[in-house]
Amino acid sequence: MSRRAWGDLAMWSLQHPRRNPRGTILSVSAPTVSIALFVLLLGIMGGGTVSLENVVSETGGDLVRVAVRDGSQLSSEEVAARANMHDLVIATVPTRKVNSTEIRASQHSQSLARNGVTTLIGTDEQLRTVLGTNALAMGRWPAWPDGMNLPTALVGADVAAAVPLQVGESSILVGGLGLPVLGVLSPMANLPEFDRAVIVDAGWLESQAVALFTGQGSAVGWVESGSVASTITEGALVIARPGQASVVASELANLVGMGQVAQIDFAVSSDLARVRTGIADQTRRLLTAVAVVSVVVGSVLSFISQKRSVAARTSEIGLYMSLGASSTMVALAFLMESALLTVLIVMIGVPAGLLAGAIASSAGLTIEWTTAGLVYGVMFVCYVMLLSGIIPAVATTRVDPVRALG
Amino acid sequence: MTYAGPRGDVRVLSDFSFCVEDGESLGIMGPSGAGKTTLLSIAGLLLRPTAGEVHVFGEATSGLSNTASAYLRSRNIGFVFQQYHLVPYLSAWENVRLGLFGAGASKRSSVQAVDESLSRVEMSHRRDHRPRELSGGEQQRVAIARALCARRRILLCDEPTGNLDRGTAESVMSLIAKLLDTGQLSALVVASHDEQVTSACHRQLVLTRQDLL
Repeated sequence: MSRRAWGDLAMWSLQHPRRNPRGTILSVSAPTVSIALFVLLLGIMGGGTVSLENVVSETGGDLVRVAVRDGSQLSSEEVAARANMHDLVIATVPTRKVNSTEIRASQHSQSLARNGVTTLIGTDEQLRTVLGTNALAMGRWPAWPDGMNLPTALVGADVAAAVPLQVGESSILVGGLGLPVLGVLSPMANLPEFDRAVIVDAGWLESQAVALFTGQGSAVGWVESGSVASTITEGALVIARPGQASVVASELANLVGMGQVAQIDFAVSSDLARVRTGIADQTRRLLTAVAVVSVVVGSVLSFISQKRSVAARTSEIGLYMSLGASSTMVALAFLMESALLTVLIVMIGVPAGLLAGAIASSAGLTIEWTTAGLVYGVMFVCYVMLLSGIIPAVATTRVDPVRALG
Repeated sequence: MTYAGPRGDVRVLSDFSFCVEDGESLGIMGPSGAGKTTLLSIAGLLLRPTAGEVHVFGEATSGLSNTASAYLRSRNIGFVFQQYHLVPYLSAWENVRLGLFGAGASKRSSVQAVDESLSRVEMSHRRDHRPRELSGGEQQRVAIARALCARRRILLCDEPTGNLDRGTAESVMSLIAKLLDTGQLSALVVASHDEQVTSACHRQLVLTRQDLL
C-alpha cells in the first residue's frame, strides 16, 4: 500500500471520531481512559505518603523511639530487652557525638564549632523530601551569638546546589520544626557525600524536638554540648537509616552508661515506619486498583463503542470496499482509529497525571514520578486499548460488502 | 458464469454470460430477487463467481487476490447505489473525495479531481452541504461524482433511480448517458426493475427467475 493510501486510511480514521455524531461514546471513553491513566500513574509510581516526617516514608528507615526518665538507669541489655515494648516517642535524647567529623573550610563556624557536626540531616533525597513539604521556610538571618554551640545540619552537595539555601533567610524543618540556617560549610572531608553543612541555631535545638540521622552506616548525634546535653525535651524522634536502628539504639544506650542521661527508655522498632509505609502502600494499592478498574472500564467502553461503530458503519464499510478498499485496509483503518484514540488518551492523560501529581504534592501528598512508571503506565493503557480495538477491527473483515450495500 | 451463494448451496445465477463493449451501455432488467445486484457485484469484483470468469478490459480476474481485485476496482470500477450511501457526516465535496480512497492521489490532484467531478454532475454549488441537506436527486448526483472521481471508466448502477421521482430520475439518467456519450465513461451497466431506466441503454438484458436456478 502506498504512502498516500496510508494517508487516506489515517484520514478516514480521524474523520469518524471527530465528526460522526455517533462517535459520542468514543469521545466519552477517551477522557475516561485518560483519567484512568493518570490515576494509574499516580498509583503505580508515587503512592501517597501523607506524613510530616516524609523522610521516614521516603527512606523506609527504622524509627527509634526514645523515652527518658529520671532516677534509674538501664543497661544496654535492658534497653535491648525493652526495645520492642514501646512505640511512642516521648522525649528528646541529648546524645553524644558518635562520629567525630571535622568541618573544614568553614567560613563562618570553623573557629566556633566544637568538634564539628551536631545533627546530620541526611541525604539529598531526604532533604529533597523535606523540601517537598515546603520545609524550607524563608526567614531572617539571626544575630550571630557569641560562643554559641553550633549544632549543624548537613546536606549533600546536590541539595546545596539545587536548593537555594540562603544563609540568614532559609530554615530547615527538623522534626516538624523550622530551624534557621546560620551558615553553610564546605566541604566535609570525611563525609564526602555531605560536603555542605547547614549550620542550625543551637538555641532551637535545646528546647525543641530534633531529628537524628545516621550517616556512613553509623549514628551521628549531638556534638558534646553542655547546654544541649543537659536539656531534655519532650518529643524527640530518632530516625535511622534502614537496618541501622540497632546501631542508633546502641549508641543511645551507651549514653545511659556514660551518665549523660538518667534513663533512656526506648524501642528500636519499625512500627511507625511500617505504619506510615503501610498507609502509603494501602494508598498506592487503592489508587492502582482504581486505576486498573478505570482502564478496564474505559477499554470496555472503547470496545463497545468500536463494536457499535462497526455495526453502525456497515454500509460505510461496504462503500469503502466498493471504492477499492480491501478488507485488510478496512481493518487497519479501525485499528488506526484505536491507535489514534490511544495517542489522544496518552497526550491528555500524562500531562493530566503530572499536573495532578504537582497539585497533590502541594497539598502534602508526596508523589515521586519515575520515567519507568510513566512508560509502564503508558504501555499498559496502549496494550489494553489495542486489545479492545483488535476484535472490532477483525469483525470488519467479515463484513459482506454486497449485504452491507443492499 | 455461475454463482451459487457464499456457501455454494443456492444457485443465484446459472450459466450466465454477457459482454459490454467499449462505449456501450447495458441495461439489466428483472424483478426483485432476480439476481441483478449479485450480477453487478460479480461484475464489480465484489463477489467471485462460483464458476466462470470475469474479464475487465480484457484481463481475467479469477486469479487475482482480494487485494489485487480491490486495487483493480479502485482504479476502474465505480458503483452507484439506490440508497446513495453517502457518509452522513461528510459534506458533498468530502463524499466525492472518498472516491479517491486508496488511489494514491496527491492533495492537489485530489482537490482538482473532486472539483471536476462535482462540476460534471453540476453540483459544485452544493459542495459544502451535508447529505441530509440535499434532495434525493442531488444525493445521487454526488454519488455518481464519487463513483467517477478517480477517472474510473466503468460505472455499475444498481437501481440508481429507485428512490427518485420520475422527473429527477430522468435527469439523473440523462446525466449518466451524457457521461457515456462524451467519452467520460467506457462502459455503463444499469440494473433496474424499471423498464424506462434500462430502455435508455444501448442493449437490454432481462433476468427472469428461470435464470436463477
